[in-house]
Amino acid sequence: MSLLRSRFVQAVLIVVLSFVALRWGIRPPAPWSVIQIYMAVVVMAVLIYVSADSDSWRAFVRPLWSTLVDPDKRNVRLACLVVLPLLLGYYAYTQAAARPQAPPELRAVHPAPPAAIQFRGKEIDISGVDNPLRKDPAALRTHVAAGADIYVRNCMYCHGDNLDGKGHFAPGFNPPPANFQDPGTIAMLQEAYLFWRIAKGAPGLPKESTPWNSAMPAWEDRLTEEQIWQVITYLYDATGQQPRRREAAH
Amino acid sequence: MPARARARVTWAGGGSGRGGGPRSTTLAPSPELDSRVGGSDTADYTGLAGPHLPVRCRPRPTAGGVVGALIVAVSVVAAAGPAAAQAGDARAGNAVYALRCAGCHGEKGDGQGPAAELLRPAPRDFTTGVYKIRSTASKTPTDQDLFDVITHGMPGTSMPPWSVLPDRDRWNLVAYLKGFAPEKFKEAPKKLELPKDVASSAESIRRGREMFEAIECNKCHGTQGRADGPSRAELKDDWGHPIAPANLTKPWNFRGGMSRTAIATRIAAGVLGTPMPSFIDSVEKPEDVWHLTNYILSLGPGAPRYATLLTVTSVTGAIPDDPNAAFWTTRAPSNIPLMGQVIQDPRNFNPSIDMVAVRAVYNDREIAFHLTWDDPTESAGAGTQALPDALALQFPPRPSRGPERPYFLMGDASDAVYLLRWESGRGVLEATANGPTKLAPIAGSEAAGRAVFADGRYRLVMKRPLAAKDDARPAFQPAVFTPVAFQAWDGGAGETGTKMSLTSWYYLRLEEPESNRRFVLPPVVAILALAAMLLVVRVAQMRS
Repeated sequence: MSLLRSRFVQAVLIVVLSFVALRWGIRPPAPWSVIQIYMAVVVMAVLIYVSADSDSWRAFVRPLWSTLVDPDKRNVRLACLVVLPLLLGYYAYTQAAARPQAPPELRAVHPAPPAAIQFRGKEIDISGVDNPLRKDPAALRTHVAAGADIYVRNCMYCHGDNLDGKGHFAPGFNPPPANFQDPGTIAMLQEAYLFWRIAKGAPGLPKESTPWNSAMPAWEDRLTEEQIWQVITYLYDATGQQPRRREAAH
Repeated sequence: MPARARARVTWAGGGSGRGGGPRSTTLAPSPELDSRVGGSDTADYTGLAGPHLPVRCRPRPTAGGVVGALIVAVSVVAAAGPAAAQAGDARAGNAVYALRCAGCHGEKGDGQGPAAELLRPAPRDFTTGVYKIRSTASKTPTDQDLFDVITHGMPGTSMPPWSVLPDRDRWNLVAYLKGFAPEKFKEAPKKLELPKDVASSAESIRRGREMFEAIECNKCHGTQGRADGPSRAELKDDWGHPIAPANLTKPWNFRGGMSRTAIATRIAAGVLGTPMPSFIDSVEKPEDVWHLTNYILSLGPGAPRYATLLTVTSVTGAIPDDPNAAFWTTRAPSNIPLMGQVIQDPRNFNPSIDMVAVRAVYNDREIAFHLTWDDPTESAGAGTQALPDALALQFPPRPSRGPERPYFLMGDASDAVYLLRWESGRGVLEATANGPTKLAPIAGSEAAGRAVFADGRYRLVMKRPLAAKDDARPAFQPAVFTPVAFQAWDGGAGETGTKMSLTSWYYLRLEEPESNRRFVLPPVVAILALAAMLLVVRVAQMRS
């Protein structure tokens, strides 16, 4: 166990284990830039740890120093002199020969909605309106059925039969169509937010959401106000998600 | 106070957007959960986490979930062998059907659901009991055949794979579907016996090609298999709907799958309800179905391998105008998938052109694009009755600072796009567009090019100078990422104006002229590192 007590071995182990955990322990894989930031933090922390007092620092430096100067470590020294330059050369090769990748498209997925929108000449208060179809629970099933028809005739091609964003046109579009089964989409949004997104589509997005890339049509041209509420009702019904509720007024 | 939706920025950006990155994982449920089918919470077992969801937002597995996952793992192991057909419960199948299938196939199973009129091929009419995909010598499919179609979907059509549904649901659906035409399923299906498999070889492919012509596959599927045979226009299915022959160069769209057995089975048993007959008695020897299979698989690549970035290669010397020149055809293409335009009316739900293969080069003066796409009908275009065939490359007219660019669907009133456009009968021209129907040719077009059509395929070369003469056209510079998008029209399929296939924005990049950097840099780095290390060792030894 004396090996594990060596400051140097401890430091190397901490760095290696952190890297393994960050690189292979996270699903989906974290981007390289994130791993780099975390690794920099880990290395700094390790350096602080080994230099906490001068004894510790000497213990950390001792194996390094002896590799550099001890006559009986000559073979290790030579191996380092061969292996490290080769590794660096290989790294330089991978960098120089790398094929460029398309730059990522950063965008706000759920931007803040406007307070109100104009829908065919009528003002709709996005920050305050509730789904009017939910007022009459008896008629809700009819609305869900009507919403299903609207969905399958208009939305299915991108958002998919299964409402999972995997319709048959989905692979061609970037950003990909929203996956309504995902707890990060309609489940965290209010119904009025959906009304805005459906009515105004891509052209109604703010710039941080790259309106020029999105294939979402502005459905106000094709669907009536009631039809949009019907399809919203269907989305929640078919996925089993609950719309986010408004906070109670104080 | 109203809660405000907070802006959330994707983690990996568009990295997962084109299907190349990690897609959402779907957690299959344990079979015990099936009893809930029909309730309002039926869907909570389907897709759980989307591609853009940071990992910490994913639901934590609960104890029940872990047990469910274990059961699934065990059942997956059990199903690794040939999955045994199960008797389904038609009543339970009814509930799944109403929720998942009725939208297209109709509540009565007659293929008349609300979406039916928009879909081509039309949704299956179950009341006839006629099924395309079957592994039997008789007219009825086995339960396993129906199960497989539900599980894998019908590639190239609107029927998606329903593998997200638990096995039990799918078996229940099989039972329910059979109930639409019970008399058809009275007799046990007769298993089709395929001859012994013949491995692919040059000899077998040659023999397959002979058979392909001998039994007149080319009449519908075309000489090169691109679905452009002379009988194409007359083909109708049993319901009288026009039906297109399969494009044999794109096996990933084969309805019953592209495995060797699947293809040989389709040839031997035919595709019921369509003009594709059984050929097992027409071929000279039964094993010819395998030679045909080998020939068909030799016609195209096994997968489209779609590109995410279009690299323009640097060349020296002249760039040939001839689209058939070996200069072009020996280069590896970047395949770009095209989708139907379903944003502006009239919409195109069934696009004819689903892929374009792009090769691009530049020299010190000009940039050239070589485009290949399948189109079963050549249209003469301008000056004739027929709608023209066309293809366009779209760029923002000016490089923009930041991510802003014109609307991908050919710009809008405020932001125009630049088009490098070819149209049959007109040739190549430069144009500006402020929307899909607002095209204005640019005066003094500097673009040139030529298209050739043969055996259901266009090859086109379009060229223009690297530099821009004015503000309406972009300039191309090495090592800069330029947005690019594609649009295509098949006049023969009635496509014109907004009825088109298109892509969203991709990136194009002119690679730097061939450099030897990658061979020079590594040795220099290694030698410098060695020198520095030697210095450190020397200093250390002198000090001690």
